[in-house]
Amino acid sequence: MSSPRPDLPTSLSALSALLLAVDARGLGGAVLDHPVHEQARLYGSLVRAWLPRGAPMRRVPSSVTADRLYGGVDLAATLSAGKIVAEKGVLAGADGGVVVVPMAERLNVSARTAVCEVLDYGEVTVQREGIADRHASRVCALLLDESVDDELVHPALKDRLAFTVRFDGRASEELEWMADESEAHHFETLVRDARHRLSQVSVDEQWAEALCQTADAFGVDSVRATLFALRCARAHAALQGRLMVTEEDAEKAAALVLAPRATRLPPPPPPEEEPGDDQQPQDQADQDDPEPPPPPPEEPPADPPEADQSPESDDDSTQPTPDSGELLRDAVQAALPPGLLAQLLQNNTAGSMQGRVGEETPNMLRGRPRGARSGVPRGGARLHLLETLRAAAPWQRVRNSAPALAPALGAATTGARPRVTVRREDFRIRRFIEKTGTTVIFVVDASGSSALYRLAEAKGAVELLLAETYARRDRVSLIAFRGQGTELLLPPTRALARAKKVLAALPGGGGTPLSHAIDAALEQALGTRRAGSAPLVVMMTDGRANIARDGTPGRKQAELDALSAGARFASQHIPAMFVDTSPRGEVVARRVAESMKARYILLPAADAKALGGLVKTAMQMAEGGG
Amino acid sequence: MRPVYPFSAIVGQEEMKLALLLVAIDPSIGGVMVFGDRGTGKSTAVRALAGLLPQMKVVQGCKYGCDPASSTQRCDECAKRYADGAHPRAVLAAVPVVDLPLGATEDRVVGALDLERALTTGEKAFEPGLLARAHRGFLYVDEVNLLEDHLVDLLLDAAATGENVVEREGVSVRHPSRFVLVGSGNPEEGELRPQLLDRFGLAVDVRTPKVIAMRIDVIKRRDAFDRDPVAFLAHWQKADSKIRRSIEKGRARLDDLAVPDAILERAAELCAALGTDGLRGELTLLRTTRALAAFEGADTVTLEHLRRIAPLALRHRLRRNVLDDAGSTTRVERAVAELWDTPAADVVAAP
Repeated sequence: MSSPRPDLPTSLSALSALLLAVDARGLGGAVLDHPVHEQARLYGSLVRAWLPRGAPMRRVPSSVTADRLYGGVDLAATLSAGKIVAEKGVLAGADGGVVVVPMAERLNVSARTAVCEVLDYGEVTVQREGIADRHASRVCALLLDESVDDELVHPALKDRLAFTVRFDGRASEELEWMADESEAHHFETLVRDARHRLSQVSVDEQWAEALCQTADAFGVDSVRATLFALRCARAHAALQGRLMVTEEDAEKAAALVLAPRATRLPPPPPPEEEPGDDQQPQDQADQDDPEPPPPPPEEPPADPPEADQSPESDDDSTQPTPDSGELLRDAVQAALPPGLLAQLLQNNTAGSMQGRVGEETPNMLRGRPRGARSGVPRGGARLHLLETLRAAAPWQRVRNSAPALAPALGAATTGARPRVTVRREDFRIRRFIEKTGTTVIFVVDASGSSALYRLAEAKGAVELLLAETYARRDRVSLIAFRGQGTELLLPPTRALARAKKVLAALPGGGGTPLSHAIDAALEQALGTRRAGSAPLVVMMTDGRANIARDGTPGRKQAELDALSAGARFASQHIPAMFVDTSPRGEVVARRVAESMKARYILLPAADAKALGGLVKTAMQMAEGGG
Repeated sequence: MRPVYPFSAIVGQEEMKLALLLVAIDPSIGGVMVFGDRGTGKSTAVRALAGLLPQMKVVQGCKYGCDPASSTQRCDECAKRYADGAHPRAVLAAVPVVDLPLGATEDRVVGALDLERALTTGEKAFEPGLLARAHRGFLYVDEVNLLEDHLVDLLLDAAATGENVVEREGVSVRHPSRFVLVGSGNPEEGELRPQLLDRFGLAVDVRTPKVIAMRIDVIKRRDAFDRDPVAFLAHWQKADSKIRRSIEKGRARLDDLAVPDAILERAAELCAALGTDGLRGELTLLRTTRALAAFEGADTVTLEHLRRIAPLALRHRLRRNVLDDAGSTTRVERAVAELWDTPAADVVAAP
């Protein structure tokens, strides 16, 4: 590696801030991975300081309403002017600067698509509330990923941002150093010069090709990622004062852009042909959103990363420039975040990062906005200004010619004749449709005992029920339990195809931690209820609990724990079905079902149709009583 | 105006490009639904199409872009004009390709009272919405599977009737709204409502190209475009106009192409074998087959044409085993092979 400039940071994270400032539009921005508040603030303010002078910085809270995001009607100006006056939204207001999104994993669907559009086109299109407009919005987006558990920053957003930034000790130190006042001028000049240089930096084709190959080797499918890598290499070269992308630039780009996106390790340099042949088709089957591949997973690349560094490895002939590809591979591998590497090594893709899509929280407030109706804005109801004006508009001539007839609620209270006369009967308030519908939470026993009795059949039954939920456009959620604990395989979703895949890949074996399963079901059900949907829990187990709450094996304690968990569950009045999957029915299962106040069904007795019917009625119950 | 990536410069994705061109030739095929991975150029292709389409004739001064040649699809104003015996001039206009953002509100989709005119002049005027703007063109919804249900209802209604009826705030307007609906989305992020899926004439799956050389091409071209759009557009202009001409020729040819009864029977046979519901599948097969033949300048519609477009027109219509959405293409291809792989000399007409 050529010697880096001493005046540049060495940590990738600190470097990424400089690169963003050099090519903000081209690189989109970064996901900041669980930053401490101070770090995020520092990072954002540095990027902004290095952007051309006067760059704005705007925060987009995850609760942002569409009118503030896209822009909407300027209330005061509209009333006083007597015509619609548009007001720019946050995205348009941030043009040329930085947009910070805290808790990006909570961003609602419409805000997310707006941010995606802005990142794609540098513009925001407004088609709302009487306004049709288009504003420039060339922003650098910083998404703060503060997720816990299963919520994740949406892949569509991540895909559009070049970097994922982690703040380790060195990165923090370097950011502090760069923020120091004595350095401010130095970095500002450095970035400015680089920005001017950027358009002249040329890239040799071999680097473009090497980046593509590296992306492929690590299972990075999105074309955007490769494009970001190319732009990143160029920005890095510009920062280094070069007009030509070199190996070092490409390496940094691969490490910064490709490594965090890796979904697999490259196949080890093939000494024998057999394993390589096996692996190819499997790799190709994997798509960009890898679902757990069906059980015999692709041969785990058991080699530690160093294996690839062996110099004598000769590459297959599909790669025209083996050495440059190889170099980048090493760079990526060295930069793989520790957790990810372990994950890739285990090839544990079940519940992997990409598989989970942060579920859309459907709305801005509660329920879907659904037009307006007449009514007075009180008791929490919000005035729908535009519709109110529309209602008032046709009457203006009449009213203004006879202003004394009724006390008018004018815009101007100063005594001047109001431009718009709005009366009480014109008031329109916003209507929302409360999200109804059910979320069916399947809790599937994947323990050894259940696997013996028919895990496969239980899966089949769940599939049937899934078909039923599909017809009703309900959501499903999947929890599996076995061994020591439970696993949320799928947060509530409407994507049933995914539910099916996850389910098919579910392995069996291990103990039966039934009490944990009931706890998990309860927690999920309460969460669902909070989100405004009616939960229905479907337990599928033989009920033969043998892992106690504290994790120790033992049938007796495990059963007691399951019963007490069941009682707690029952106290929340959550509708539930308990499908006993044992061949002849277990007494324990029935007792646990009773403790949960769940409807007990013996699977063998319930043929497909009957089961579907039962779920249907249970869902109606859930909606009615939820 | 932001520069639009040229259609001809899109690497690969042949099926998606073909589907878009076929609906451009015969809009009555219905819309196109593009399923696919992120970053595969779904939006790029749709926007590129906008830059490619030949201009259309519209009645001068008509805010709905009425077709001077059509006597049945006219807005109230044009109907009145023609009824009064006027002969409005026809002017050329670009075919609209309208984006429907997910955050759109109902009033902007269907149109609403023009507030400004109502307030200033007391006039009840209608301000057309996106459905009006998309008339005779394309309406594009990215991530259509995430579109709010009430907006989907509006689209379904307009798509079914070919007109937009507005009854709100004392405005009563009806105007033609025939558009080709193009949707894109990733089924992993939410199912598409079955009623809406059914509206799409064609469905395509796009995947990230697996051939590395192709991916290299994709990013090289994209990079070249980003760096110097003007030069890039100039370079591809010729290829784009060639496609434009073949659309024009295809359209002209369309009316003269009759689909032989033998082909119709084959289409019906295929639909029966696959158990697709309703007539819509057959109708789409017929129209798409003809559009393909017209596009390629064939003299007759052959079984080969039918065979090639069968997956496009049918893959989203198979009676859904909801849980098995993969493999629908395979199912169509299998049915095609089973039915027709013993060559029937009478239908395989000379090219």
